This record gives sequence, structure tokens and C-alpha cells, in this order.
Amino acid sequence: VTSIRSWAWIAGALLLVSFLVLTLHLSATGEEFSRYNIGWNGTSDFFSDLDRHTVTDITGPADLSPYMNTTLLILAPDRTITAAEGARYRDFVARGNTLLLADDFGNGTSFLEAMGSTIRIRPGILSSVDRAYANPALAVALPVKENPFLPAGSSLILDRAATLDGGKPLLATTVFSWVNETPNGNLNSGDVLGTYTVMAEEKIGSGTVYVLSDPSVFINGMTGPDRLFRKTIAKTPLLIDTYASRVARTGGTAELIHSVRSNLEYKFLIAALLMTCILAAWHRRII
Amino acid sequence: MRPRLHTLLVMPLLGIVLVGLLVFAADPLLFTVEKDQAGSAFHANPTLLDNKSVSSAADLVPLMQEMIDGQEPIIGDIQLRDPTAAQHGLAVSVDRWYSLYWVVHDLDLDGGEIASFLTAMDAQEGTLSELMNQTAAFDSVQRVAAEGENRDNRQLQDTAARQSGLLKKSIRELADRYANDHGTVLKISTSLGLDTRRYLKTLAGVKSIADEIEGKEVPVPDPSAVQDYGITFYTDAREVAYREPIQFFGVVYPSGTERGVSILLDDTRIATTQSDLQGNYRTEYYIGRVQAGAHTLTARMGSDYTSAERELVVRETGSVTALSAAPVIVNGSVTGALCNGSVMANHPVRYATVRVLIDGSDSGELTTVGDGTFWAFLPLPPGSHTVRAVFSPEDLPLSASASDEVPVTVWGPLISLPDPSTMDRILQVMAVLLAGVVLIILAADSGGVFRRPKRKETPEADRIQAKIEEMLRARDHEADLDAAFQAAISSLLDQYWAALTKDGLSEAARQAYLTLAGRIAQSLSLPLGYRTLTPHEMSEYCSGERFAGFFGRFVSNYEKIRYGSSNSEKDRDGFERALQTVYREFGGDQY
Repeated sequence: VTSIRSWAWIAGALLLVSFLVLTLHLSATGEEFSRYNIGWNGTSDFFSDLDRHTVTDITGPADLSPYMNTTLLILAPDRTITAAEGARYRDFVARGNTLLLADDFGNGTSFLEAMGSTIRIRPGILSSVDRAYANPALAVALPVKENPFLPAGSSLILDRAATLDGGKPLLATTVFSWVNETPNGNLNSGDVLGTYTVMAEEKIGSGTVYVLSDPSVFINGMTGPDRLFRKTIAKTPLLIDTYASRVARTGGTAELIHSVRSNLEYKFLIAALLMTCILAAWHRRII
Repeated sequence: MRPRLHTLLVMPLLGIVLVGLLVFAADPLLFTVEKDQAGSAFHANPTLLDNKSVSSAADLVPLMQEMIDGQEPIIGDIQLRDPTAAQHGLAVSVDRWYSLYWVVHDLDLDGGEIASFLTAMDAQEGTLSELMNQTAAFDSVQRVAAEGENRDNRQLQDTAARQSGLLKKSIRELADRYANDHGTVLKISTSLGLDTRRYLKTLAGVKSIADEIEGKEVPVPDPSAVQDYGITFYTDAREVAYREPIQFFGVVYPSGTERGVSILLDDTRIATTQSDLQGNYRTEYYIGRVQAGAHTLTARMGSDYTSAERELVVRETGSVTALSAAPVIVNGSVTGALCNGSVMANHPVRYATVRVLIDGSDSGELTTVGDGTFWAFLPLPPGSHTVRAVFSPEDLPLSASASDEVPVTVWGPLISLPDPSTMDRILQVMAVLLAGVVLIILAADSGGVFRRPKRKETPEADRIQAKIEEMLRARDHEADLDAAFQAAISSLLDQYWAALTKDGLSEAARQAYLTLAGRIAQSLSLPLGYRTLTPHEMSEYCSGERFAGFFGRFVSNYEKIRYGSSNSEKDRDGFERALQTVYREFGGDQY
């Protein structure tokens, strides 16, 4: 026989689990490339793999000034930066830092222009016969030069990538690749097969700018195929740009929840409220 | 104690909400998400894609390489005037083309340079086939013109001269067309890193054939041989066998208009063609369903029956019929033999009838396909049998033939499984029976059938009851109760009212509980240790008993008075109502 007390415990446990799930639900988002997006098109997996002791959020170009010998990751930028902001990013690289920009159809090219890089991201979906899934737009890229991200003999799976002009090519597709504007990426009349660069480097001052023409390698849906590439990046101390890129984008109640989570005073306030509720319940013999 | 109704209602609702949230947690509903499960401008959803269709250029490159390399032996066979080998090479090339086509189609590559490659290769195959035929025609014309008996035949020499000139021109055009397509294929192949050395040799071979034909001396057309009206008709060869070609050529007069020309074998039309504006015509025919022996070929111009004739001898060719048979069991129960065979007569004998004899008896007929083969499943009972295939040429210029008798031993199935429909029925019945058994077990369990039976009352119970009564008497004696009180405890309620008057509500409730618990312990044959149980534990111990419900309510009210120290009128009323119910249901004489 289950007493009323047992039923109350079960109901309480259910309420607690429901509350946790609801919190998880409300704190998640569907914004593409957002680290709070736990769906296939979010980047929560990649960011949960990072060591929080060696990762720092950069909320604006002004935050970059004290750093030396670090790597800044800019993922799918959607903000158009000003020339002055671009100069701060350029200065950051010129001091000997590394900047890794991953973008295909966002504001990557204007960002590169603003910071004085000669690398350009070309529009058009890259497709290839050498593919990882039943879709030519999930093309396979291979190292063409020694690079810090992908060892020789390994490959990177792209997902509707763009292509690059300029810089020194590091990763490229095989000769059985093409670029067009069709949504499915299928080969059309007039499409020319050839090798396309998807990752390039450029020296600026004492530092290096790396550009990858596909930020989708960081999304949760690509965790399996691009594990090696992502692990290599996750090993290094990183600065995460949340100013220009889309990684910290949220929406609706998630914004509120994440602002609370990121503020220590709010956390203390909520903990105090909870403790008060618990004490009151205990005093009234509710629990 | 039972849960309250509203708790029971809230819990399923919570459960539903929880499951709903868990299901949709990975895909938040509360946001205007820039998401499309099928993908967005930035990426496709890999979880929706089939990663078994992984492909690479390794699927494509070998096929493309084979295609361009495979043309070199074809052009070599044409140069060597070996039409059989050239045809075989072309057939292989067509197969490769379709293999590549389907790979390209499966990989959604039906466009761009790959499509241009396929189109150009397809055109080249056609060009090579034409080149083979035109070269053979040129050789035939040359051979006919060179025959001694024809050297003084002005009309024949004039016809041969005209045909040779036309064929030279046609072969040069074919070579140019091939070179044009070759340029397209070469450009794509080079850009994709294919090895084009053999392919370059093929182009050289095609040019070499065109140069060779162009360099041959041919008779000069003789204007004096021109007729006002009529048709000339020449053939090569004059003696042929099954599947060998015959070239027909000639001139119709007067020239100036295109005229239809029919070729008849005896009285059967076997080919039609059309003359050009100069009156030249040419066609060919491969011997098929023609009886062996002497025949007459006739070329007839248009519909006015103006005609010319030639003799043709069709040789009989020996045929060979081969057969193999292997025992098989189909669908687990049908026994028989799988027969494969072929009929050859220097060439595959196509679309011919073959009769099958099982144990010497005619068991029906089969028809060969394009490559001369045939196959069939022959149902046979278990045992030893012989199978033979017999080919009858009928109207083909071939000899009859039969295969050797092929012994085949057919074994019956070790286990005779029912046919699939019966099997389905059996499985359905088994599923229903299983479900029934599960339901019966559940029903029996809910009725308590599988619960451990309650212990039967034993003489020990009587002893315990006596002990309890003795204890009560001793306690009452010690309490030095007055006579009125001793009389009052003759019943549960009297005992309660007496104690209430004397000791107050809490003590009265305790005595009522002790008396009731003693009676329950006696009823359930509990050992004396039952007194160590709390009222709540005693209530749980009674679960499943008829009186468990009202005893539970009694204990609930009792706990409020004893442990909650309640003296309120409301709790006292509740306790007394419970006590009266208990007395009515349990405290009477039946216990």
C-alpha cells in the first residue's frame, strides 16, 4: 500500500522533473549556429566539448586588446563590422594571434574586407562527386598543405560550403567538384568540374588569419563526421567571438534565462528565494 | 491510506506534460526558429540523409577510363576488317556506357561536363559502328569491281566507281565527326586526370582508316554507261551462311530524284533503301530466317516493278546445343531443376525454339534470347531424371542439334514447411493464443489467484486469543476500575464511552484502538509481536482484507487525536464516526 506521503513524494518528483525539462526547453533556442541550440543546426555539442577554463567569450573587439598568442574563433558572422572594429581585429592578428573565421553565406567577406584580408568567400554552393552522404553538397575536402587543423590523409566533410579566393590553400575538394546555385547542388549543364579551396591562410603581421568557407562543420549534425577537425580546435585555448558571430544568439525566454545564468548576483538572488521557500515549507510541515 | 482524487488526476496530467516536453525538448516550440528540418541556406540536415550512399570519384573514374580505353581495340578490329570482333567491342562499350550512365544518374550528376562526356561517348560509339559498316561496304564494292568477270562490265564499273566515291566521302565525314567528339571527351578527360594515351591512339586509328580508304584507287565513272531508264543491282557475297552480311548496291536511272528501292529474297521483301539524287543506292542484310539453298535476290525500283536479279546461295551451318541442369528447391517446397543452355552456329542462334525432353518425354519449348542462350526452371518430383534440349532449325539455314542427356537428381526438402499463407495463419493463431494467455494471467493476478494464500487458522489462534483476553483482564484489574466500567466494556463502543468519561479522548481512543487491533490480530492469526506495530503499520498489514478500507480511515483519525494531540470537535466527530463504522463492520458479534 502506498501512503499519501508516498504519493506526495512521487508527485513532487514529477513536478521537479517537469520543472527541469521546462527550464531546459525554455533555455534552448532554434537559432542556427547558436551554442544554446541543441538541435541539429546548433553548436551546443562543439561548445560543450570545450574546456571552460581555457575558453573566454569576447563580447566586442575592444576585449581583444590584452590577448597575445591566442586563437579567436569567429563562427558564421552576421554583424557587419565597421572599419574601426575591423582595425581592432587586424591589430589583434598582427600582434601574433590567430583568427579562425568560418563562414559561407554570412557577412564573412565584409568582415575580411574590414580587417584588411585579401581572402574572399565566393557565393555558390560547393558540391562534389566525393561526398559523405546522399547529397553532393556534403562534399569531402582534403588537405593540400600542412596545416594545424587537419593532418594529411584525413578529410573534412562540408555541408553546403562556399569556396574561397585568395590566400594560401590549405584544404580543397577533389577535381570532381563544382559550384552552382541550385538548392540541391546537383550538377547542371554548364557546370565545370574542378578543385575548389575551402580553407586558406593569410599572414597579417606576426599572426595568421585562417578562413574556412563552411561554418556548418561546427553544427551538432556534423559532430560525427568532423570529430577530428573539431577536436583539434577544441584542444587549443580559444577566444569565442560573440560580438560578430551567431554563436551566442538566443531568442524569447532563452535570452532571459541565459542572462540570469550568466549573472552571479541573479544567481544568488534566486538561490536565496528558493531557500526561503524551502524553509517556509519545512516550517509549515509541508515537507 | 488512499491518495486523494485530485492527486490522481494531477499526476497523469503531469506525466503527459512531461512526456510532451521530453519529446519536443530537442526542438523548442516556443521560438520562431530559423530552422527547417530539411535544411537551410547554410546546411542540409545530415541526420535526414542516407550516409550509405557515400560515393567518391573512385566510383566514376574507373568507368570513364574503361570507356575511353575501350575504343582502341574497336578501331583496331575495324582496321583488321574483323566485323565480329568490332561488333563485340561495340557491344561491350555500350554496356560500359549504360553502367556509367546509371552511376551518374544515381549520383545526381546528369549535367555539366559529365553529361557532355556521356553524350560525346555515345556519339562516338555510333560513329564507330557506322565506320565499321561503311568500311565493309567499301571493301565489298571494291571486291565486286575487281572480280575478273566484272572488269569489262561498264555498268558495274560505273556503279562501283560511284559507290566508292560516295563511301570515301562518307568515311571522311565520319572520321571528322569522330575527331570533333574526341576533342570534347579529351578535354574533359584531361581536366579530370584520366590517362588519355590509348584514347589518342584511337583517334589516330580512325584517321588512318579514312586516309587508307581515301588513298585507294577506284574506277572512274563512265558516262557512257548511263541508261535512260532502269536499275543496276550487284551483291557481295554471293554465297553466305547464317548471320553473315550481304552488301547490295546499284544505280537507278534516270537520276535527279530520290527513289525507293526494295530488295527481295525470292518473293519476300528483306530490305528497303532509297537512292540519292544521282541514283546511287546501297544497303546490307544479315542472313537470318532463310532456308539453306539457292535463292534469287531482286532489286525493285519504286512501284513500277522495274527490277534486276542476282543469285544467292545460303549455306547450311552446323549448330551445337549445350545444356546444364542443377537441382533446386523453390519456396522451400517446390522441387525441380534449373536448366541453362545455348544454341550456337558460329554465331549465337537468336530467338530460336528449343524443345526440352524430361526423361525422354517432351515437356515444352523454350526460346533463345539475343545471345543464343536459354534458361528455365523445370518442376520435377524428387528422384533421378534426365534432361535434354533439342534444337530444330525450322526456317533457319542451320542443322538440327540436341544436347547430351543431362542427369539430374532432385532431392525433396528435409523439412516441409507450410506455404507462406498457411504460415501466416499459424503465426496469427499463435499470437492470439499468446495474447489470451497474457490476459488470463493478468486477470487471475488481479483477482488474487497468484497471491500467497492466507494461513489457515490453527489452534494456536485460540491460544493467542485467550492470552489477549487474559492480558486485558490483568490490565483492567490493575487499573482497579469500578464495577460500572467493567460492565461497560462488554462492547467496543461501551468501552470507548466509559474511557472517554473517565480518562479523556486521547486515552479512550487508545483503548479503542488496542481492543480493535487485538481483534484484528486474532482474525489474522498474528503472533503476539503484533503489538510492536504502529497503527499505521497495522493498517498496511491489513491491506487486501475486506475491512482494510474502514480500518485505514479509523487509524487516520486515531493518529490525529493521539499523535496530533487534537482535541477539536471536528476530529473527535470524525474519530467517533470511524469507530461506529468499525464497530458496525468489525466490532460486532461475528468477530
